[in-house]
Amino acid sequence: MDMQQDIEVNLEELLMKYRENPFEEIPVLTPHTGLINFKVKKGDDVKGVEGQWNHIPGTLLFIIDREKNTKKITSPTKGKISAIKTNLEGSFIEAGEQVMIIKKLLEKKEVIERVLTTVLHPFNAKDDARYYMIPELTNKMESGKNVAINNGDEAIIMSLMKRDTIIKYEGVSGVIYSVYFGQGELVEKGKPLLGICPMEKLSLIEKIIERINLEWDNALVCHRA
Amino acid sequence: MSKEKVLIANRGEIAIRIMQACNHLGIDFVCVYTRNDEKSLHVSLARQKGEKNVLRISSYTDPNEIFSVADYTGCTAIHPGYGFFSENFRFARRAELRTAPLIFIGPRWEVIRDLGSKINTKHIAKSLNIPVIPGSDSPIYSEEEAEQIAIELFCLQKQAGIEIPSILIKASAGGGGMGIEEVNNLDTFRRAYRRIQNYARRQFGDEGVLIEQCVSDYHHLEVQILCSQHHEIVHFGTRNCTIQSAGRQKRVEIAPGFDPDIFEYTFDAREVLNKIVNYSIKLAKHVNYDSVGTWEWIITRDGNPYLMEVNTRIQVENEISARISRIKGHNPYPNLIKEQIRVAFGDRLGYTQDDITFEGTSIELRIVAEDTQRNFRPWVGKITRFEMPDFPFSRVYTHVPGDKSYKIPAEFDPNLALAIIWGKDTEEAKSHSKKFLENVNIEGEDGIFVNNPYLYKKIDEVLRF
Amino acid sequence: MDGKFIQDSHKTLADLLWRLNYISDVKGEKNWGGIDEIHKDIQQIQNYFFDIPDEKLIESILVLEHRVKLVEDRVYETLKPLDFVRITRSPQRFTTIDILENVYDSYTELGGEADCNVDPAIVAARATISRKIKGKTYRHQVMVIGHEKGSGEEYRNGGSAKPWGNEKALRFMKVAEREGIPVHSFIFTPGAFPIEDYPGAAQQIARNIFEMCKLSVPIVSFISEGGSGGAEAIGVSDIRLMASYGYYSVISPEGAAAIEGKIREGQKVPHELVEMCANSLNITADKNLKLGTIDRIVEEPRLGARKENFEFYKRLRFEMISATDEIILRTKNLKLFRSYILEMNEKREKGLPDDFDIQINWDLSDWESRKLLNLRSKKYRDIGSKFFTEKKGGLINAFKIFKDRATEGYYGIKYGLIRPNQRNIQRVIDDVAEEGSVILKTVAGKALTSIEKPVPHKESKAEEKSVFLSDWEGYFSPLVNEDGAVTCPNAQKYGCVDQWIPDLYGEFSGVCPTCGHHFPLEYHWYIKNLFDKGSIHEFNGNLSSINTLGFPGIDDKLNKAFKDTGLRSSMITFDATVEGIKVIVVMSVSDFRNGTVGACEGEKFVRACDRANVSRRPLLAYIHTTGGIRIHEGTVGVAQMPKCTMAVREYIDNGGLYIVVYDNNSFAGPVASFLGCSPYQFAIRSSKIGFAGPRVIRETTGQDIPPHYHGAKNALKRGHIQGIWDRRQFRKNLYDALITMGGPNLYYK
Repeated sequence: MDMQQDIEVNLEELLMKYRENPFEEIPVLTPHTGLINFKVKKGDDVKGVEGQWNHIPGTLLFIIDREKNTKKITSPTKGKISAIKTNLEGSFIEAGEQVMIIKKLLEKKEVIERVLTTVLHPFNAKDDARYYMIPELTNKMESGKNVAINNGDEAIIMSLMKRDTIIKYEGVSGVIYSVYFGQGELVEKGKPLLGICPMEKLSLIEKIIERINLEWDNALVCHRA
Repeated sequence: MSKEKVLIANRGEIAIRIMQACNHLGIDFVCVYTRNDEKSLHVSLARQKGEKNVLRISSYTDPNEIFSVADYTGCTAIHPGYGFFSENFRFARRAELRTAPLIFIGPRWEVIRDLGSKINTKHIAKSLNIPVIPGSDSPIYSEEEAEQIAIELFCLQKQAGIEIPSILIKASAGGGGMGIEEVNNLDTFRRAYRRIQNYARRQFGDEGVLIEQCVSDYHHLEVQILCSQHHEIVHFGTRNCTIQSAGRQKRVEIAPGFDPDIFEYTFDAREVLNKIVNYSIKLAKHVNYDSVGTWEWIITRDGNPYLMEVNTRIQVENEISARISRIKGHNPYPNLIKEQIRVAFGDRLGYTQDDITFEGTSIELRIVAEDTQRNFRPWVGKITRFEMPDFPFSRVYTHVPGDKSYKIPAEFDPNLALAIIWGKDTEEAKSHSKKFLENVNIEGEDGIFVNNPYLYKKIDEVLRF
Repeated sequence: MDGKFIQDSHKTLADLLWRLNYISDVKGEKNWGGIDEIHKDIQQIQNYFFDIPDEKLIESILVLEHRVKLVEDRVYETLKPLDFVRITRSPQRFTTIDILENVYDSYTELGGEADCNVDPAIVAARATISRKIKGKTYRHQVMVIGHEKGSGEEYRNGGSAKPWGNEKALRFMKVAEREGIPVHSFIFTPGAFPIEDYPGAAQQIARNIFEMCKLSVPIVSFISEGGSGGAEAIGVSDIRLMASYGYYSVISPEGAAAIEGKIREGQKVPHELVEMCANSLNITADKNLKLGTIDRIVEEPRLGARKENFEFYKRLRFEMISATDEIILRTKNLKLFRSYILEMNEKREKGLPDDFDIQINWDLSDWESRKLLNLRSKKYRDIGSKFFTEKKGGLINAFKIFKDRATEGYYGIKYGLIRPNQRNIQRVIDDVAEEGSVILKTVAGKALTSIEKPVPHKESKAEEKSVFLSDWEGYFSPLVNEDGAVTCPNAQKYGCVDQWIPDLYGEFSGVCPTCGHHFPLEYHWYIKNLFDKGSIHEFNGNLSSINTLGFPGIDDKLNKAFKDTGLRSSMITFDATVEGIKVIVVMSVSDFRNGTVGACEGEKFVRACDRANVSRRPLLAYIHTTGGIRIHEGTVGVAQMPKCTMAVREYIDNGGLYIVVYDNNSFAGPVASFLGCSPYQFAIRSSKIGFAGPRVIRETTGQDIPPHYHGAKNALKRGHIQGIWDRRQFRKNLYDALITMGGPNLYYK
């Protein structure tokens, strides 16, 4: 019961924090070298991928031309262009150059995700490496049900220097509530890979979600006002 | 030569060595790096030359990045180093055929293509009566044919008195240890054959398969060749690269390839070395080779040499061959990377084989962050102390900065340094190597796994059959 | 006011309102010709019905009736083809259920009700139809298949049959065949519901056409609204009737206009363009009769028959019976048939007869069934034979004449009294082969009953322009000359590195080395890499597409295509060998009018089937791309669906091995007929196969479709194709397929 109260106090603080600043700044990097041609300007509203199957690409941000091949770079998220290096227009840029920042309003879903990190048990990366979920788990996750995981279950493939190692899950048994990495993504050592929710806490988590669902929209209205 | 500008399409110590060679030749250069390599010494060394000489790219393996940077910086040539694009004939072909052509510092693309295929190399070698490992010399597509060859190879080995004959099935389009399976029993041949065939089809879109005798008790020797575009051919002797890690990665190399003055061999070692050098030159002449290259040989316990493959690039261990070579009228010992760049720009060698003499023994030690007790598992962590001794007989190549801590990037093999040791004879080279290793100091955050104790132990095994 | 008078007046007023509604339906405008005012006046009278004195009421009604009639006259005078489309779609128009109620005596709907009725847009019913002879009633059993548009709560997708609806139709047609009763089919469809769910819109239509080609009972079809492929799904028939106010078209005029005007999705199509297309597409009954795509027109009352026109049902009954009689009689006795036709025509002219003079039994003997099928075959093979050109003259063309006569000779045997014996044909082939060109010379110009000699080698030197001669040697994809990179569409998913164009299109055969995505390659690549070198000999290269309907602007477009591609049609037919195996190949290429199929292509396909049949060789249809039926050829184009299916069905029935390989984009009519009917269909990786493209699906069904909906992988999952081939292994796969499915002789019988 104590724990629950703790979390509730904590939750209050967290929500307060997000209410005060419900934005996130997302830097946009160039994927590779080439000549850049911007298609948006500061203050523009942009859209992320949309559609039932995520098949409609987001707003065109810029075009990058390399080896007579033009590539369209679209917005990964909904938001507003808060900064843009227009002085680079038409020039050769290096790979991984930050060319603009999208200021995005946090969605309810994302706030929930963030708040939950304080409640869920993280399973962290062992090394700086590329990580993949083992295929069986991926399939189970795709079927949309709660996937249970126990201490010692094979969970993740770590790809380090071209060697694949299967990593067993270590920690409390529970349900995989969040996955924090994309397939084949490079994750730094110590960063969370999975968020596990112990069975007995499931109801608590649902409570938190319910609460944020109720309060978040109001919070935003306040903020806008 | 000063008009030229070289794009160094590689990282780590080889990038540094190419930079040094360019500096010696008075040629401008451009370096590339990826985000993970920001802290690498090759980046900061290149920065000393100028901010504009270093550009960040998304990946060392995307040719578009290399060409895009080359055009932007006005380079005239590309040095691929080793690995990455060094043996990629398509990359070399693109460099040559594109509307803004670039000199590929390496052999002509046709040569890379023809010698890049093991099976084709074998085919050419056979036609020149150069010995190759018994087996098929063209890709096999039919199961019946494959089995017939397998049976022949088993019989051959039985006749040669081999108790447990063994053959290898390889994907003919493959390389680097992938898609290879060993078969000791004819009954299991078909299953293994189909596995490899499926693998080859999936992986390379070509289900051709190679079958050859599996040779297990052998030494791995190399012949260092250098050719110019003007039909000049010289060699810089032989190397022995038998000491390898579990994943067939070389760890200790030594030049020359055998030392009959100290060790006893069951065969005439001098004659074998002569043979492989002559065979290598014969093949180089035949294909009109025009750069540096390494001919890899297998020498069995009874002294039979078999040509394994040709590496159409500069190799990590090139310097031990150079270290024992002297060219009349040139001081001190040659730099093969410099020579490679020179011939790529069309220079003549300026000397012949008669001008080259050999002196002493040279050993290369590859210092790698790996756990030699646990199947050479790579270690990635932060290096906090990195001290390499400085002796008159040694030279060190590393991209690890000595003055600050360094995080090993997870993307690449954790090679830390190369040490080139020289002695007036094999015994002295060995004792110098030990002395060097005793003075190496590497420390990491929360401990470290590095292979210097393993190297120390292995020094006593070199050149011994 | 007596009750009867009130009732009648009410009814008259209500009927006037219906007629006004009908006018807006027909003209597609709310207030056409100022009918709103008449409408208001009628309502006024309805509202004050009991306040108006009788005489005044009668007078007012008469005036109103006259006013409505005047507007109707003007509607009639200004009737345009587009109005016909609206007439057929008016909720007041009769439909299949009305026909079942009024034309037939009794009927039982088959296929279940409610949830069990897999697709209410298709009605199947066992019905009886009766004729009176001297006051006595005779009944016939028939199977009725039709589209039901439905309306309001009973809306049945406007008669758009789903794939399983067409499957149901076929199921009950087979029942009719088993029972030996005629099929009467009624077409009220704007087109098939274009979804790919099993059994698949295109694939099921193809199966229907394939089966109907040889359904051994008489089939009479009647078109009110004939929307392209959806109509063909139940429309293959011995006699095809069409309502005088119906329309039969390859595509809706709006759809044609959107394509013609290259209108982007969501933008409005200009009305003038729609009108132009409706006029040019020859969609009305008289135009179709001229084109030969229907056999007879069933006259409707002025402005079209509505649900209440009982006179019309009587006429329709007469026409359905007499059409069935005709089909029966044709198979029995020519003399009897002719006199019957004369008599019926007389009756039609005089007005509708109540009585028939003779009772005709609708049963057929085995022999008569065969004759029925032969006649059906001939009917379909002849469709569209006027709508292409064939160059003649000169020495080589004498040979062509020979070839044509030979083909005719083949038809002669085919439709003659004697069924050809396979062994005899084989012997004739051998004879011709032995004597070689001597025979060819001596027989040329004579009426022949011989068989065409396969692979006339010298023919390739003919002056007729062949695409292969000039660029056979040293073919290079023109794409490899470009210095630049391209991004694989799967780059995000599989991390494919951008490819250098010369590498991609040269060494990699247009296949992404990372993920295996196939970039499109021009058809020449396949000609060069698929067949044995020097083995290709084109035939019928001199057949040329024409502007069948005189569609505005098409002459120029055709001439441009002739010039740009060096082709005369989108279909190339040739002899070739694959690892020594002789095959006949039909290649549909995207370069010429996006691989669309019209009369010329249909004829070339039919001739290729017959060539494969006579020479007993496997037939490969490689579809580099097909964009469907060429809309500028209207229903003549649509008729190529049954025509080609008929030819390939006969080839398969004779033991032929027919393999279809799809590449790039294969859509619509051809897939829904002569391609989709193949038992062995394969696809090249990254190709798309389907009935209608995403845009049409969105516009007709209102549903969006997931990405890769038409992709080869999904087509395989749905069972539409049997496998996916890698382009680089095409030759090997084709060879394997020929060996495994072709049996020892590459021919079954």
